[in-house]
Amino acid sequence: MDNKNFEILIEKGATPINIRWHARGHMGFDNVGKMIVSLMALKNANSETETFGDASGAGVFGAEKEGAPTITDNALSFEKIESFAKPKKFDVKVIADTTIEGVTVNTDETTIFLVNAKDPEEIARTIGLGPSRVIAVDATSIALVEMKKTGSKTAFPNTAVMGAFIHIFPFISLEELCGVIKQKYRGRGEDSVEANIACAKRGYEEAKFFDGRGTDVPKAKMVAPKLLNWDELLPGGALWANGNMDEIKTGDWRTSRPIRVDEMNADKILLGIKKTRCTDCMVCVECCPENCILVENEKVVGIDLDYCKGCGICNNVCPFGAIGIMPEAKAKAKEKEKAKEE
Amino acid sequence: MTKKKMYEVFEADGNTMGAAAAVHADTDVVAAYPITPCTQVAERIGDHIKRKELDAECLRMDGEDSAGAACTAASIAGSRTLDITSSQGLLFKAQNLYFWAGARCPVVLLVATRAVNAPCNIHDDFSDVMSLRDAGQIMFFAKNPQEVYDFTLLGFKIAEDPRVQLPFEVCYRGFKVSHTMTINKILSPDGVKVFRPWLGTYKRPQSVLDFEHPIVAGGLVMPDYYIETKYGQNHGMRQVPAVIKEATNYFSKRFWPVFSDTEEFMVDDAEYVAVVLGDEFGMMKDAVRQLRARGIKAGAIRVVCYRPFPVKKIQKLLAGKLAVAVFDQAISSGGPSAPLCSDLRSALYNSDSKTPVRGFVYGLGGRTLELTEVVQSYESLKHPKKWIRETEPCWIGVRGGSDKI
Repeated sequence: MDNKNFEILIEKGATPINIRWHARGHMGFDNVGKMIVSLMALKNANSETETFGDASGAGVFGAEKEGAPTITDNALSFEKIESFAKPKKFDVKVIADTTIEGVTVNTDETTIFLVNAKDPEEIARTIGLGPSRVIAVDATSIALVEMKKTGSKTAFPNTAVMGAFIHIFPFISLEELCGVIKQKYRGRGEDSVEANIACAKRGYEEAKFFDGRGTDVPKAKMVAPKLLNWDELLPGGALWANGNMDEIKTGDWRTSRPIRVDEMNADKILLGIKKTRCTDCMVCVECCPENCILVENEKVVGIDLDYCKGCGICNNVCPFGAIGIMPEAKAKAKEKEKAKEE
Repeated sequence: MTKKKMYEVFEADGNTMGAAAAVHADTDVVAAYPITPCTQVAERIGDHIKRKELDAECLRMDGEDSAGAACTAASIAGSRTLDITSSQGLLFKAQNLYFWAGARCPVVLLVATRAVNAPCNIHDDFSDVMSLRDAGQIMFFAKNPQEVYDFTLLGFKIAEDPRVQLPFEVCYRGFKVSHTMTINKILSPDGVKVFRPWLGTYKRPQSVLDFEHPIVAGGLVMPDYYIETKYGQNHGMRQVPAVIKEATNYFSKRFWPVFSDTEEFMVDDAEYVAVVLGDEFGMMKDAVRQLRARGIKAGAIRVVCYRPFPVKKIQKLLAGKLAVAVFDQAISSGGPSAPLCSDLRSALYNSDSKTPVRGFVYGLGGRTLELTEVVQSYESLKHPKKWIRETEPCWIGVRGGSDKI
């Protein structure tokens, strides 16, 4: 897709540009917030004038866990940033995982969306981003390919998203981004630096653009949660209900999935039908922190994917090597194939 | 029924009176760790339990912090809970005080106030309780063993009131009150029969042991609800003055008189007034008598209820006075004034009264305050020009100190 006519560049202006990153724990997006600030610091160091601009970056922390939805905020400005208050409107929204809910909060038609997806128009319609500008980059696939190519275990989708991200800011060059990545990933080894720089370059080159302004792309309706007044609460911050863990399906936090080893290389996933290595020793049942190993008649029959967070403990403790770990995206793709066949 | 049957005479020190109150209030759980000078309270309660005068769990914890946590758990489960501490122990327990207030646990805490290390000192001052005056508890300062008993009894009634649900701290000076034997009144068996139904059994509005309506206590509250929760806690504190009035009115009518917010001595026509906490009020009274004999119109006020601070009452009492002296037995190092003086100045600043206030610091680590020093302090009030520009309190009785009374 051609990006030349895509007027999405935010020009040098006085007001701070507010950016919000929606991601999941362990995707590396708190690092991105810091990298944006490092980029601006680099700009300042190389600037001919006294300062080039200012930047701030901060994660919004809550329940930190691999796969939990996370928020990171950035502000870029050509004047000194003195307020760290959360803005009411974001100029740029980055959606690193399209399954996260509530990504269209605090946006309007001037907001630019950067999405970790293959097709910008398709994803705009799927999520309901409204008639606004969308950039898509298939960062997860890029990271997986580069990880395999370089043998590095730490190629993250975040650097691929960063590569696409700098299209929005013409004053940041790809070289500068690569410099910051080098600085950031040096501690993880040369292969990691190489893989992440490759991710960033491919992200920059493979970004696809869709100008949805004036089109009929629907905007997802956001219902603001009703917050209670102080006198409607139980005193002392007590919570009404307990034992309601079942109602919150935390399985979508998962980034990798436990798989029976004999299925690892199979084309289809057939959970809990045929077992080769498993001896029903129940070690995994004892060790699973979420009680997700399903047992029937003293036999292990499968894994409860509604709640499994993919921590991999079962994979570690299994004495017979019966449980493997597969990236969630790959497992989902296989599932889709299976559904198609049926 | 005559009033006399309601009480009997009991000669005891402050700690013993605190334990007697725990028995008469039918406490359910006592969790404490020994620390001078409050240890005897727990020891006496243990004796009472052994003699089957009190049906309570006396938990021997391995530290002040865990004792505080045990009280939290007991209170959340719906028990009438008492804790006892002092000095380092109170500071080790500090986070629990905030937790009690935040989680709305009406624990009654007896504190025999004592200086805080370093240097190590076991004698009285208010450094320990003053350092935690903003933790969210109701604070009463007792002037004698009798008041330790009264305020402990009333403490349960006030703290457990559904409108309040906040911890209640009874502060009394270590050794000077905790170990001083006096002749007191305690409830007679008939008195207990009247008192207990009025006090009632503690019913927590939401208990973790209520299986019909289970709750989670102490969960994570994010920014979208935290300030509302704290507003609720502060709202409880706002209800306290009215609840205290109800409780002290009943107690005074049925048993014997108790103070609810302040105690005054010859304040009405006074020109110069001293304000103090706790049993040093007796010394102030002596000084007032001496000064009045010499024609100086002096008066004295004791702040009984320190949290919530009786702002309106203080404004009313001090309106039109020529000058006020505030005696603090604690310091706020580097601050403009010591704790009580800071609160009093803030209370007066937006009132019509433009009375100048002078702060004094006395008696740290148990040093005796001399009557002559108090009289001198009163006399200095006549010449505000000499001290009105002071940016710090005046330290009394320091050998070689540069502060001039």
